[in-house]
Amino acid sequence: MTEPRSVSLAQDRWITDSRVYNLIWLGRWLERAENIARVTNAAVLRVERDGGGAAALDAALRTLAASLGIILVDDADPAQEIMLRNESSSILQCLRNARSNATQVAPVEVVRAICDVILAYEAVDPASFDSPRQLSEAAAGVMAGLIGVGQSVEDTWFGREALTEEEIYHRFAQ
Amino acid sequence: MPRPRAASRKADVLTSTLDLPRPAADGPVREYVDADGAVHPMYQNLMSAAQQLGPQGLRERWRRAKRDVDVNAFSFLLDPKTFRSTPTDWIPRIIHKDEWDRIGAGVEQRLKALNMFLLDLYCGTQTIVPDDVIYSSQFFYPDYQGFRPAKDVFVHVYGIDLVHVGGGSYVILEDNLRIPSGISYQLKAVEISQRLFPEFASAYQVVPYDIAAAYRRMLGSLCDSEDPTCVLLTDGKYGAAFFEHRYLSDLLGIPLVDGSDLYIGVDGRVWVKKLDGDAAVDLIYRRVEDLEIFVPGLTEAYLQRKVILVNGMGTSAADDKLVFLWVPEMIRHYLGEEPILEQAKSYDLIDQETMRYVLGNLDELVLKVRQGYGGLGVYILPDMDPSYRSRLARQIIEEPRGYIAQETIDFSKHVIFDDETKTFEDRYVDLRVFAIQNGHGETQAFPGGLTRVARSDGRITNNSSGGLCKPTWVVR
Repeated sequence: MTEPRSVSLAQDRWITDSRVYNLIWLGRWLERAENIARVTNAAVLRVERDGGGAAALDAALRTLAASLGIILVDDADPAQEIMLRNESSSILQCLRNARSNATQVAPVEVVRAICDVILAYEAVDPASFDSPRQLSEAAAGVMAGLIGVGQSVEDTWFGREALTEEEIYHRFAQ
Repeated sequence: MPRPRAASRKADVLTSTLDLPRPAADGPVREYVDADGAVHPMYQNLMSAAQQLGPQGLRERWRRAKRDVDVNAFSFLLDPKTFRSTPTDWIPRIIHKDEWDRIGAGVEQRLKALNMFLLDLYCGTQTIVPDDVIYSSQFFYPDYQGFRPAKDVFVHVYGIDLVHVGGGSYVILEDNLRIPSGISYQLKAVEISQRLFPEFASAYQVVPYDIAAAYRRMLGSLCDSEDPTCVLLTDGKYGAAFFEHRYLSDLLGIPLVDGSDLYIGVDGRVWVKKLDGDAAVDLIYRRVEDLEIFVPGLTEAYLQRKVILVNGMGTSAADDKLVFLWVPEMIRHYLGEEPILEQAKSYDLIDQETMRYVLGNLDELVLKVRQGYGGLGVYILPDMDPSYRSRLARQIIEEPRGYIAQETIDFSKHVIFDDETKTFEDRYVDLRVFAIQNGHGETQAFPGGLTRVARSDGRITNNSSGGLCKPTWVVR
């Protein structure tokens, strides 16, 4: 019987076109999720600091939604749109899109870290977004979760120790 | 095998304390219990462990497992835009190794015969399947006539759907020769069940197998170069079984590429685009059907033997549900053996007498669209509203070559646990078994397979039709 030939195992980190595409979008969606969480949190904290009530918070979130390109139809709740519903500019959809890109390009540890953030976020009762405090906590939770994703990228993609530029190149290229 | 008396008492206690479903009179075989309703000896340790956990404990474990599935993006998408975790029940299906040995041998026998048929069809003068069946198939490609694939193997990865009809007898429902999917679901379900349910696994010796090594050996055996460049071609992250593509790519250590990564070079070879310089590809483990749409020119490159495809092109000619009728004859003709596994009795509707029989017995039969897949185009008439019969009768009369009829098989049920209601329920189950054939002509079926569980209201088990997965253990 002929001896089996080997299959090259050194190709699983090729930077193909589809990997580049997914890497770029993975980064974009994660950053977008983090930015929306950050500005939402800031908006809520500012309204609280200024002693504004529900009307002031609603106005602040509507301004924020407009700046994110979210068109609020009829009496749509801006908090729900920003946090959950909008297809391209809600925190939840940005995280889900990032997960989708990650499944094609990222190490499984990074996929898991993103899934963890999504699961924690999905577990929050949407009705709680009526409360400024809970809205702020949900946004802060996403920011904290994304720090974990960043750490996972550091740990599993680049290793804990700083790599030289050449080492990073070879890590991807091979 | 006679059941010991002591075990019988223990099993009876288990049945009542776990509040397992009561069997319907003359109902289908329930794999985990005996004919008298007591837990089958093979399942007693498992059910004892379930009893120890209790309904609340089981619910907690189920939820932990669900989280594990979610976190690992173990998914099967029904809608490209909606992430969907793979619904899984964690009570394993157990098959004894003696039973498996027969299944495995039957599956390997069938794979060999199907490959020989395809070679004969495209490169020989096959006389088993009538010409009008071949030429009326949309899956037969005359362009491939005369083409010999690498090492004469068309089907490298094979999936076969079986049902258990009791007493360790399994019946074949259909063959999957194009891009059979599910092997990663088989592996993942077993892996999670053993990791998160150690109480279930502790009393059993599950037969191990190494799919990665077997696949690598298979891929390597097809290539002439010492260090071939192999890639896995996916339809992308929105495809239903993308999880499997990614999983296999990681498992086998071969790059995952989509159509946009590949092109045909001026040398006629397939190349993959990379930032640090393009690379020629020797073999594509393809997980897409419409190759020309994904990589224009790939068919020509394949026919020019510039690239090897796993599975090869043209395999669908033997995947046709009508050709299924002649597979036992292929086994006799090419291997000189009797088929080890029985297949569901099926009817060719072009024969007038057969058509009369089918029309007269429609309410007892299954109709399948000849080119259907994924549970689509399967009409289980006994389970359907009678109003459908006249419409389907009209359709098969108008297009007798577009359908086959098959006997309705009273196959087995297995138990699932519903963590919402904390109750057990019996559901129909089938078994998709995977096997490979390498370039040395060796075949290997992987123990167990993927058990697919039907929805509570039917017998169609495909995940795309709302079914569940179940871990399957082959035990010594």
